[in-house]
This record gives sequence, C-alpha cells and structure tokens, in this order.
Amino acid sequence: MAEISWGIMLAAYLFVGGMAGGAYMVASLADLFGKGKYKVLSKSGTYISLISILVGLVLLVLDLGRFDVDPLGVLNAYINLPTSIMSVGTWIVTGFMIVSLITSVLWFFQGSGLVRKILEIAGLVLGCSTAAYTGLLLAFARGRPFWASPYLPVTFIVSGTLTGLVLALLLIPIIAWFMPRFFEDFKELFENREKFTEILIEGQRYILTLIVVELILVIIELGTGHGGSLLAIGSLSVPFFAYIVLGLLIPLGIAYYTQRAEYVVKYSVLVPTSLGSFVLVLIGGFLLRYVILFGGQLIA
Amino acid sequence: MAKAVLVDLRRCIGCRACQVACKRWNDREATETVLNSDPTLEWTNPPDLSPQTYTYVKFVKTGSGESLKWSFAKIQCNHCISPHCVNACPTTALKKTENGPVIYRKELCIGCGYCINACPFGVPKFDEENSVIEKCTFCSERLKEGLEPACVQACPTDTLVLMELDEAQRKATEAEARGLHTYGLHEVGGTSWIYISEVPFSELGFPRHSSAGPANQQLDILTKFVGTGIFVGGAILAITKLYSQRREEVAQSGGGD
Repeated sequence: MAEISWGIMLAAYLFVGGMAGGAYMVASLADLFGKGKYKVLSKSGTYISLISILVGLVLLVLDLGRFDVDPLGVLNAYINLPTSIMSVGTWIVTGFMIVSLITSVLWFFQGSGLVRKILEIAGLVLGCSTAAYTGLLLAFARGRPFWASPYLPVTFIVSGTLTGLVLALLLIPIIAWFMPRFFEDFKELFENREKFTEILIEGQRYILTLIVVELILVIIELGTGHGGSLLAIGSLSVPFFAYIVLGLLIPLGIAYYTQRAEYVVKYSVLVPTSLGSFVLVLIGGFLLRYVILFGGQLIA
Repeated sequence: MAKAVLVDLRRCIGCRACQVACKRWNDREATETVLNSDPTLEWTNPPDLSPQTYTYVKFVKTGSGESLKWSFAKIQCNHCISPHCVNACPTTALKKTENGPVIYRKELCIGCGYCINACPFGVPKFDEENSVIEKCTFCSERLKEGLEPACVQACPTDTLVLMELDEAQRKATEAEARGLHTYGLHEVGGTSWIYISEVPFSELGFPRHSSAGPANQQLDILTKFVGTGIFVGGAILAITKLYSQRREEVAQSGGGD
C-alpha cells in the first residue's frame, strides 16, 4: 500500500541541497580555471551555495518526525558512520556548509585568495558529494525499487550543477538591482552590457550542454526503470511533463538560440529571455525532485 | 545463539490467533477496518501493517471456480540477518540483537523516516500521534526470559515454530530440495523469519528480492554510479571545450552564424 513518508519539504531539501553543491562546483571551477574572468559569478555561486544549504538544513530539520519531541535529537545523526548513508551525508553536508561559509566570508571581505582557492578545491569535492548524496540517499533505499538506479545520483549532480549555475547567473542582476551598495562589482558587471552579455552567452553554452546531458539521463532512467508506471500516475505525469517541457526543452531552445545568435542578439532580448529561462530551469529542478521522490513512494 | 521462526504456511488455517495474541501482548489498540479493496485479498483484515498492527494474516485467493484456493500468510517484520533498516538508520535507533530481533530505541530516533523507505518489506510504520516508529519486536523481552513470541505461543497448528536460526535454515533448505517454495532463506541476505509454502510466494504477493544484503546492494549501485559519473563529467567537459574551441575558430575567421 502506497505510503508517503517523505513529502514536499524533503523534495525541496533535495532540490536546494543539490543546487547548493552544484552552485559551489560552478563557483569554484570558475574561480580556479577562469583566470580572473568570472570573479562575480564565483562570488554569486558561493553565496548561493551557502544560502541554499542553510535553507536545506532548516527544511530537513523541521521535517524530522521527532523534531517537536526532541529538537536536539538531530545531533544523533552524527553517530552511525559509516553504515548509514544518511550519517555519512550528515558529515559531508556539515563539512560543505563550513567550507561554503568560510569561502563566502573570504569573498565578501576580500580575504586571502590562496586560502580561498585551497578551500575551493576541498569544496569542489564536498559540493559534488553533497549533490550526489541527495541522489544516493534515495538510490540506497531498498524498499523503493523506483529509486534503485545508479543514474539517479548522476542526474541529481547534473541538475544541481544546472540549477546552481542558473541561480548564480540570476543573482547577479538581482543583487545589482536590490543591493548595489554592498556588492558594487555585481552592479558594475550588470551595467557593463558587453561583459554581461558575454557571461550570459558563455553560461548558456554550459546550460545547453547540461540540459542535453540531463535529458539523456532522464531518457535512460525511463527506459531502464519504471517510466511507464510513473507516467500512469495522474498526479505525477503532469509535473513530469511540466519538468520536461518547462524545465528542460524551453530553456534548451533558448540556450540554443543564444548560441546561434551570438553576434546579432539584442541585449534587450537576451537578458529577459535568458533570465526567464533560468527561472524555468529552477522550477524544473524542483519538479524533478518532486516527481522522483513521490514516484518512488507511489510505485510499488 | 540467534533465534528464528520457521513459518510453515502449509499448516496455517487463517485463525488469526497470532494477530490477537500480538495485539494483547504488545498492548496495541483495535482499529476499525473494512474489507480489503483488492478482490484477491478481500478477507485480509486489517489490510496492512500499521502502528497498531504489528502482524496480520493475509488471505489470498488463487485460481477460480473449482480450482479456487485460499492461502494464508502471516506478515510481520522478518528480522533480517543484515537489516536494511539498521543499515539505513543514522542514529542506531534500530539495532540487530545477537539473539535475532531487530529492536527500536525511541530515545535515539530522530524521525527521519529512512527505515520506512529502506525496508524491503514495507514494515516500519510511523506513529504520527506519538512520534515513534512501530513494528514487530520479535517479542525480544519474552525471548530474553526464554519464552516464545506471543504469536508463536498462540498458534494452534504449529505453523509458527521458534528454533535456532541454523536449524530453521536447514529445514528450509530441505524443503526446497523437496520442491517446496521458501522465502527469507535467500532474500535480502536471509531473514530470521523463514517461510515454507506449496504456493509460490509471488502468488502470495511477497516482494521479489535478490539475495544481496545492504552492503552488496549499495556497493553495486555505488560502483555503477561512480563509473557513470566519471563518464558523464568527462563528456560534459569535452563537449564544452570542443564547442568553445569551435566558437573561437569561427570568431577568429570573422564569421558569424
């Protein structure tokens, strides 16, 4: 009999957890290999990773069935290494949160670049592990055959990187609009049309690749898993199609358009179209977790 | 020594004495139930495990007309030898004891619900009212005192027999050799409740599981995940690199699209 023990809060946690890991991966790779070209994007991605993981932890803790009885009981999750993937994940997420916090502080107060880059190497591994953990947590659950796929954690890493990248890009104009005083470099980049266009088009190139890879992974998942059962459940088929169309296909079309039109696209078209597609990617990222999480619990 | 219960379904008459004994010993409340909506299980009542129902007898109708046959199967926690719930629990609230039972310690539980999703048999249930996990305890307190579990003691047909684990495994192996069906001898690495039946367990609605325990199952997924991850990561980097190079070449040659 279908029983939902993990609900929408956990779907949101899986989404923001994956996005946190992905945003940090994007930020650190851009800083480590970008030759100073992507500093604002790196900052943006680092801040996103910290906010996302903190939001995720709040969602997770509030969703615990015994939080009201024993609020500090959550600390017990540190004790069962290494048998429980959840215990391993708790340590990974904790380490990631600390690294993300220190990196954010170093960016904000313009601290040592060397220390930041060393932290970024550790954070790259921890961020990837955090995104992978959100998938492995499900894949290891023997009672839910729908989740038992090695492609699931890979899909979550790819989706986490994609959503982390789009939110890091989306944050640049948001900060430039609402908090220009504290983040002058964000404002500077956003107001420099040529540079911002370049960053958006380069970003869209990675977005294009990530969406194609995610689509391939989803097709493999559906082909080898329980795709038919998933589509047969009315409450899941609608969000699933919304995820495919809104979260992947439309942003894919827009990303492709930005690449084709690199030398002719108008700034006034590129910016709103791209930012709109980023919002769709984020909605898609959440829907992916929702469909997978509920699908596993509803499909016997 | 580890204890086990051999469940010989050929002997079960569906009297539900085990259900009643379990309720009484564990002080579980009666709950209002209705006939099962599944026509092949219509007399199964209650229809599933719940925080108030640690065990129930499944009434399974197989065949039709003259070949119609009723089979009965007691369902409860199987107390796996390498339990997935214990493996999944981040706080050791669930623990496999040396003498067989998988026990639950609520003072360590954080209510994450992972055991519910990890159990291959859908056994642990969350009691929302009291914020605890509920499931069959194998009457661990009775076992400690040298007593049989309440359901075993109540069974009038010796369908349920408490014995040493190795003895139960030997008897099940002998039954397999005689062409009977078994469940729990191999599944998920073996369980402490082992079934023997004339009817295939797939017809009784028991979930199919390989013999892999949690460690093997997770190692298998992990290995394939790492392989796929490296391939996908490499492919993403290679595609974007090649694409960037192509764009630069096009830009340098002065062309657009």
